[in-house]
Amino acid sequence: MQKHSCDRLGQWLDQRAGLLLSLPALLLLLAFVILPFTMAVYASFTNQSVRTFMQPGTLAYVGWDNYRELLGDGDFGQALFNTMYFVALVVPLQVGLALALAVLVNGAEMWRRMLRISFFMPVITSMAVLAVVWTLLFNPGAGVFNTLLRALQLSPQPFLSSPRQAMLCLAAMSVWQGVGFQMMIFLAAMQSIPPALYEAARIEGAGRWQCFRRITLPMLKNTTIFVVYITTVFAFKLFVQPHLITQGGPRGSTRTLILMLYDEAFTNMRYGKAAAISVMFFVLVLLVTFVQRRLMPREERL
Amino acid sequence: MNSRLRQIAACVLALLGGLVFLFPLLWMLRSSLLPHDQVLRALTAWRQLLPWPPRWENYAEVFRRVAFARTLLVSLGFTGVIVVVGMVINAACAYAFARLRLPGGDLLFAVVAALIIIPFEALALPLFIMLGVHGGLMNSLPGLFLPYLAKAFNIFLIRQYFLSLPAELEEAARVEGASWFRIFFQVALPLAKPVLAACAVLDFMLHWSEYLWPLIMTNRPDFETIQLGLGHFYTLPPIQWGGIMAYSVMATLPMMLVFAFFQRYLVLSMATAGLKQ
Amino acid sequence: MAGIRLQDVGKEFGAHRALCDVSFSIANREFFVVVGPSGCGKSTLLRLLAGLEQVSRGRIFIGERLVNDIPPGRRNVAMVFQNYALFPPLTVFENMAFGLRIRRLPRREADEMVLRTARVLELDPLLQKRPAQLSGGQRQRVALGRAMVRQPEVFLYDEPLSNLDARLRSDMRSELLRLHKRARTTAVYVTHDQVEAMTLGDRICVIRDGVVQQVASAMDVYHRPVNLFVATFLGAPPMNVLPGRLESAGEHCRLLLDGGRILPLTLAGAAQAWRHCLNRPVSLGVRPEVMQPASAENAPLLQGAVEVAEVTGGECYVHFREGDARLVARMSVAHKPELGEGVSFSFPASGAHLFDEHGRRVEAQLAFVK
Ligand SMILES: Nc1ncnc2c1ncn2[C@@H]1O[C@H](COP(=O)(O)OP(=O)(O)OP(=O)(O)O)[C@@H](O)[C@H]1O
Ligand SMILES: [Mg+2]
Repeated sequence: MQKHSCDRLGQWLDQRAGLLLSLPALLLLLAFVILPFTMAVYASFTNQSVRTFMQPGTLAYVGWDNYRELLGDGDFGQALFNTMYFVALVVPLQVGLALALAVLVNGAEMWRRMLRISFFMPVITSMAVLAVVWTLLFNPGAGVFNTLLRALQLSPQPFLSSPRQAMLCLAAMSVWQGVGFQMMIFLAAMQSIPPALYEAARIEGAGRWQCFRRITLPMLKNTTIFVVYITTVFAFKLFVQPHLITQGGPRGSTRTLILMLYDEAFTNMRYGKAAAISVMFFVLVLLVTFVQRRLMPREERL
Repeated sequence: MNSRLRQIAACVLALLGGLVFLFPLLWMLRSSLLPHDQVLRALTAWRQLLPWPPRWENYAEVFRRVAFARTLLVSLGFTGVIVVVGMVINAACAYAFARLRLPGGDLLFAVVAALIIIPFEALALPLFIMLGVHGGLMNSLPGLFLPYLAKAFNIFLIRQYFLSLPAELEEAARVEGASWFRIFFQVALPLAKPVLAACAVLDFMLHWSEYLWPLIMTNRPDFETIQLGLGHFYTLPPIQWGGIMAYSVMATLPMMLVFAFFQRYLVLSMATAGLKQ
Repeated sequence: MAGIRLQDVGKEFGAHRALCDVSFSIANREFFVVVGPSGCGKSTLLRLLAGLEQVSRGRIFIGERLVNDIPPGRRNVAMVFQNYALFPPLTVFENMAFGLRIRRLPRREADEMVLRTARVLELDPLLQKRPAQLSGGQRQRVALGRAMVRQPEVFLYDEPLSNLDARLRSDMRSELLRLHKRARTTAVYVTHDQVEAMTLGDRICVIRDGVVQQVASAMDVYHRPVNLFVATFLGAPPMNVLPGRLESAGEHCRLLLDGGRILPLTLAGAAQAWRHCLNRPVSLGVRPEVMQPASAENAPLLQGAVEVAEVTGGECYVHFREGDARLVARMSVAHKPELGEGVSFSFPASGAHLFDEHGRRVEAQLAFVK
């Protein structure tokens, strides 16, 4: 009798396996992605702040005020500009370099494998660690870079303390840190190109450069679009480097969108305004995604 | 003979190139073995490049000055729960989408796939209000890992992988009388090992280095992740560069270990991340 | 022990019709073979029987039990898959014991059953190995073993031998037959290999585009195909088809072949079933093996120039063209003609099949008018 009811329960559960297996993830996504996203959109139209939490009566709907304030405010414009500047510096450099490195390390020889690992090392070092290390390297007095410049009889540079150079420094460091990741993606894509294609091309008399131009590059088209996309989105999220190295300075030259979001939310505690930045940031990412999807052939779209 | 020479030359060149590329990391290692006052001292001679004799004292000092072990535990707990528990949750959901009957499954999956593009940064503030302000989860492990357990991207990847596998094995188990739960755990999960490992390595890398969310969700120095701990130690007077570099080296080691063991899957994870088919 | 009965079974995948109005019964202990071209719905039929798919319509009985809503694990059937479907992390022994473990059989009893089956299949030395360490043939035997251990009422085979090389395949074929004779259970066997179908099946079911064409013994399917599709599907090389027109000519009939040749015929048969094709297009089917070189007593009926002559050991298939029709005849290698050489063949009227304009078999005894 007991065995029978146990059986029935088993069967009942089995018939609902699809629902039961997917439910934990779906509920978590609902609670921690969909719900907060809705909250962010909602909060961006209110004056929510630490004060409205203390005195709930003061919470009010403010319409587009937060957005208007942001767009009219030079700070936001500067943060947006800084972010775009960083993206414009990093994306072409990082993708181009990653492709070149991938070509360099594609192969089974010992030295190529050694290089592959060393290019990947910065990727598996956390950004916080690298931020600290590069601060040391950029140190204007005894930093390695200025020591080197002096040794070459060149004038030492202010690096991080100059508004003109600070963002360039962060970009250089970021490219160096992340290039191994994109290189690996290119490498994986290159290794999935059937060798028979190259053999056929060689029989047709194509040289190395021809093989690269006529086979590798076209075969990597979708991978490249994808790599450009993720590099762009990663670059938009720039936060740790300016937060730890420059604190947005000097003179706001490294203040980025996410840094501003963080400051508005956790220093000024103006949640409504910060939520508006969140929403605008999302729209930005959405636009980039949209462009990427238009470029990708339909069957490879996410 | 000639080609052998060429190979050796290539190796030496590559070694040099690699050293130049890795220079910042090597500098970190060197500085962690120097006495504090020498880290920022200008170089005057070549032999100053090597930290000789090495000063291990910096490492001991980190443990003396801050609760490094506890920080390490918090980081490991945070990353570990996401990688292990999250993986099972996501794989189960992916399996249901790939193979089982779900009411409204296609629509549901389209919604999940659409969630991939929402960047975490846009959710951080409301999540903080939910979990930190209302949920009272500041300075706690659940507060750190809850938002990351379910990941639309992983569900997407793992589902693709299940779809690419032939269903024969699972059907054989079905005919033998196994329940879907048993099939998922005993047949499907082991088959998905490559993609699970790939997701696990990527997630480990991502969350070990995670900075923003722990920064938001913790405000006590006795409960912080390694990355935050480094940020604090870096500004903790008196500033001692040797100790800071030692901290940095120790913060990096776990990732290096994971990399050493799972290198094979990492390349695969790159392939999956890149192809996303 | 159980038979199987299908009543008006239909199955659709979205808009695609995989099976349509399938009805037949399989007797207890019968070895029932399902053949058909790729994509015709053979596997779908088998998966419906296993319960891996749900019917869109109709009813399936195993024994006397309606199984439409019974999950696979409770139907008491076992299935052998094309790619063996062995669980890679489990040893051969545990693979075979899988179903018993799920049924929570006492360990001792389960082990005993596995060992007994392993002995029958001569798998004893492999029991501790893993599937990856086995050859294709060995894997196939383990898959068979896993199906047999539970002593199910029905065995379902989905092209189980198609991954083996030719030699191993014929060995396994006879082995399967031996095991089936021994176990005396019902078996449904899907294949697209006609040799397997002819040698294994007590009865054969031919499917085309989801529609059952004929269910009959191997002899009947081969010698009395119900339509042109079945006639040309079974047999290699396939039956020759000569399109033409049947005309009445006083006492008897004339068959006007499209090439212009005229065959005078008499038709006889119960109820004169052939009447409806008089003065209408018909097809004459002649298997390559009933064709004989024309001689003094066998007047030439078909002739043409040799296009290809394939030698397969002791025999030779001569391809030639008569009018627009490409024809094949079997002859002994000793008489192999040269390329381009003119050949002429005759065939006994009793070995020819008549099909009406819709391709349906016309039941009639044919004879040539001397
Ligand atoms: N799960 C499914 N979803 C959609 N269509 C399907 C599905 N399974 C089978 N089909 C379609 O049903 C038809 C019959 O498929 P089935 O697998 O039964 O063919 P088959 O006779 O076994 O062919 P083969 O000899 O190639 O194995 C095919 O056209 C196939 O495309
Ligand atoms: Mg099939």
